[in-house]
Amino acid sequence: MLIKDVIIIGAGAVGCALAKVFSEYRMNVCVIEKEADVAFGTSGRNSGVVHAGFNNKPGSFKAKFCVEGSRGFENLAEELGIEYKKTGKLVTGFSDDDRKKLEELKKRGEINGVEGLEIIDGNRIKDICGSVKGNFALWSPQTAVFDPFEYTIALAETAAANGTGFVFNERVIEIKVTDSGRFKVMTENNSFESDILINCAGLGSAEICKMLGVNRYDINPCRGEYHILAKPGKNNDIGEPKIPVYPVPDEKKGVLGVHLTPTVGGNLMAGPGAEFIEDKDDYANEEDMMKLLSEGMVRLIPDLQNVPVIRSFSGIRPKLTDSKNEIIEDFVIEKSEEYEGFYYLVGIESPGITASMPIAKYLFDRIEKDFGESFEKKKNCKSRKDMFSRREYKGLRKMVCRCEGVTEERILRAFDDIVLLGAEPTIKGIKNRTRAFMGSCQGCFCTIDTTELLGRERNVSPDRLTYSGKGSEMFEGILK
Amino acid sequence: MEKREIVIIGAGPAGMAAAVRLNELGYRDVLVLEKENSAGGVLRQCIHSGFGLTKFGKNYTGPEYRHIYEEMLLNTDVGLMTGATVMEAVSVDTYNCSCSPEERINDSVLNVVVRAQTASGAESFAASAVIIASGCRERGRGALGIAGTRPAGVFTAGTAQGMMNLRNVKVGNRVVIIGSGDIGLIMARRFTLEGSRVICVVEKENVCGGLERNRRECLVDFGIPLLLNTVVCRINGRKRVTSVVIRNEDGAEKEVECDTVIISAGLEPEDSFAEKNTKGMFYCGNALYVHDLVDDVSECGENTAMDVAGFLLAQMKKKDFDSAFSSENIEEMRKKRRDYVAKIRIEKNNTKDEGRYIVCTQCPNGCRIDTQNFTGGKCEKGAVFARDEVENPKRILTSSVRISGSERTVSVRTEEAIPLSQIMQSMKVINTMHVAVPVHTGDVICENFNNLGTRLIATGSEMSMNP
Repeated sequence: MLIKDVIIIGAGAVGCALAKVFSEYRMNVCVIEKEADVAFGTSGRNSGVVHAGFNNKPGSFKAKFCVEGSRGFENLAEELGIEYKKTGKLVTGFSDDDRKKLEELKKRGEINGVEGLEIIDGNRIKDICGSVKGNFALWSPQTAVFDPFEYTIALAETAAANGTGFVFNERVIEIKVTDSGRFKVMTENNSFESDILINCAGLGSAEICKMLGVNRYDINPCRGEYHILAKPGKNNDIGEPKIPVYPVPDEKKGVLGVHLTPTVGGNLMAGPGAEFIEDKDDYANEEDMMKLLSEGMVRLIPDLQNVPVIRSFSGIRPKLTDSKNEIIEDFVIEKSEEYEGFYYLVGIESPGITASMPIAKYLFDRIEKDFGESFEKKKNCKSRKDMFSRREYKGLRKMVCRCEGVTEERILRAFDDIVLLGAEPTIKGIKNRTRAFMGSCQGCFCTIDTTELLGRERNVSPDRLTYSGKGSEMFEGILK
Repeated sequence: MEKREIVIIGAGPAGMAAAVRLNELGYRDVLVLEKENSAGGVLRQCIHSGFGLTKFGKNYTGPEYRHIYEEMLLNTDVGLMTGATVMEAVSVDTYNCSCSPEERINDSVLNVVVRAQTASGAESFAASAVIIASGCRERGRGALGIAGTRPAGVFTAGTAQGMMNLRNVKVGNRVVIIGSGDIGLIMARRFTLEGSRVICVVEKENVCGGLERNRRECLVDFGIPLLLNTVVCRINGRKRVTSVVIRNEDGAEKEVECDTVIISAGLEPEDSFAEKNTKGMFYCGNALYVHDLVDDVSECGENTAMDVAGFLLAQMKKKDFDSAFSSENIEEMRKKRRDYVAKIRIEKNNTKDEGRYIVCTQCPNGCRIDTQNFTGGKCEKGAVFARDEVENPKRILTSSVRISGSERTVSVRTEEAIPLSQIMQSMKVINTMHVAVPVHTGDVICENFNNLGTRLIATGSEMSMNP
């Protein structure tokens, strides 16, 4: 029987999936995250689609884990208690060239093991989604949508309920290996030790690798911008499409192209663009790209020109290049040859979230094999509900966010869950857990009420309230 | 399901006026649903003056105007349920389609179902008539499509106003304001009075969006630049705003350092919860279309109330009743308003203050007074005003005073106008003052304020230190 100390760097979807898998065994697991909360990086900035797996090269990690992830997602969602909608997806085409590409995609998908793929004609497109333009399309019935915040948070909470420790606002600056072969992970304020070290640092993963002498990877940040459209409501009856609609992918750029995705929350998103940038923290939106997105979405569904955009945002794909600056197409999941117990995952971009749980399971099995002995499974594993969202909030059902129907109770529950996880309560963290601030008023009304509520019930003074952690203070303080 | 003859959604100026009028007309079964903990709506945070000029012939602040209507409302039989947020207002047919057969409503007098959320849970009401008096909402950054990052420090003007005036929170130090609508102008002054620096107000059109009175008293008085034909095209900052990029009509761009961006780029009726084309549903105030003056909002509330009475009488006689304020006619009303606003904008463009002329701001007539001979006013107030403006401009000072032993404030004003030159120095005095609770609207806080010969009076009221 082995009991190991495990450190996971990065509280994104992959880091949290690994934490969940490890937490089912008798190990001491700690997740170190530089941001204030989970899913503040790439995991919280994407389309929220469970990909079926027809876009990826047969035989690749991407193809294998994406198809496995897609098949297992419904059960996983049920286990985690999160929303999952199997909507299916259309990839629409117009020209003969498009048709050829779609046939290739279908063939590729079938080799990968994706079920139910069909090329359909214009009439079938109309049946599935009336407002979509296209002469024909690839129909993928297995594709689904989910909430990437909810997913990552649920993984983290399940891991925490089973004893995983999380530390936030700790950026790793140096890693040493002790004489006994243990890893000493240094952050700005602390140091942590472990036998096993797993690098799931997403955009920062190449940097972490370099701290332990693995120099052959570089992250090439590739930004994808999105528009979020107002929900269909009593005054906006364009409720289409209810399923993700994609154009034929752009092979040259290795991206899926500007597509439309309904979120589980009921908004429609248009995006992402694809643009290589210098700075991997530059989550800006650019005027030209915003215009391109608006045009792109109207090309797919003309009626969308009448639906207001309520917010634009961007995510950054950690595209991978090797030391010769050649693009590496696949996920890299490797172990250090020099330091036993150091594992690294780099270049985990789309379909990274879909693949996150299979990646975690694969890596766990591999680590177990490397150590040559079985890890001992806990007798009783807990669910996140055993630890989180357990408090009662009597008489606190007043509405804070009318757009999304969020009550005081839910805001406070989110706040308390964030504290329980060891994260720092922020407006963004509350937003990701409740959907307050995500509605069509974008916080015009709920900023005031949330500030008042947190002051009244949790003693948070307005000058301590941040949007996304230190430096993003919402207010200056008391006026007089 | 509670049954009511009339349900009014929102206890702001429109809803209160409608409720008071319905009570005068003899309706005894009226319920007002209000999402906040007290009546008043946006008036609670509009602590500046300029309210009531047409309705009462007086220059009240928002809280004082609210107080007048709240007193009237409390003297009626109208029910007021606070802390009740309406999530949905639908026709009985729509409601019946979505519920079980036992819950269906078969009462032919009832037309609308309203679902609300309160601190203790969900409540539903069925009513013969429902008045949507839910006011408006602000257009935010998303609607403007401004590029750049999404840091903290970007607020709509109303949010900043609420944070400052209701919560005593300092929003930022160096401020750029997008849009010269009235709230943007009001906030430019408010930030300046409270010690923040307003770097500029940018306006994409070629004319100030707000009332002339507000342009003069909020920008010109404090030397705040109004940049016309200019947009903010980018917001910078990773965590909190660090700068914005502004672009003029020639395409020239300039980076302006700031830590706060205030958006005042228009208002839209807030009626997303209400089903369209619903019999028995009526609109008033800013939920109908956005008005410039609260006086007109109150007037609109009263007119809608009259139509609701007409509708109920007609329904009793099983007759039809056509009302301009009914849900069915709403789009036509809004279109008329849009055309009117466009016309006014053109007129305004042609009658700018050209140095020699001063637009009288004593009432909404907006007479242009010639400063050389002080003529041009429809009444004698014009000449007096213009002379004062030239020789010794005076302003009513509105702000807030800290409540002793609490981090909260109560809104205040000078009873009479004080010299403009004394305003900033007077703010220093106000910021050292404290007032003990309870304090009521109209209470005198200081007899001879700053030795200026006028009293400082409370415009709002606070009953306890921490409600």
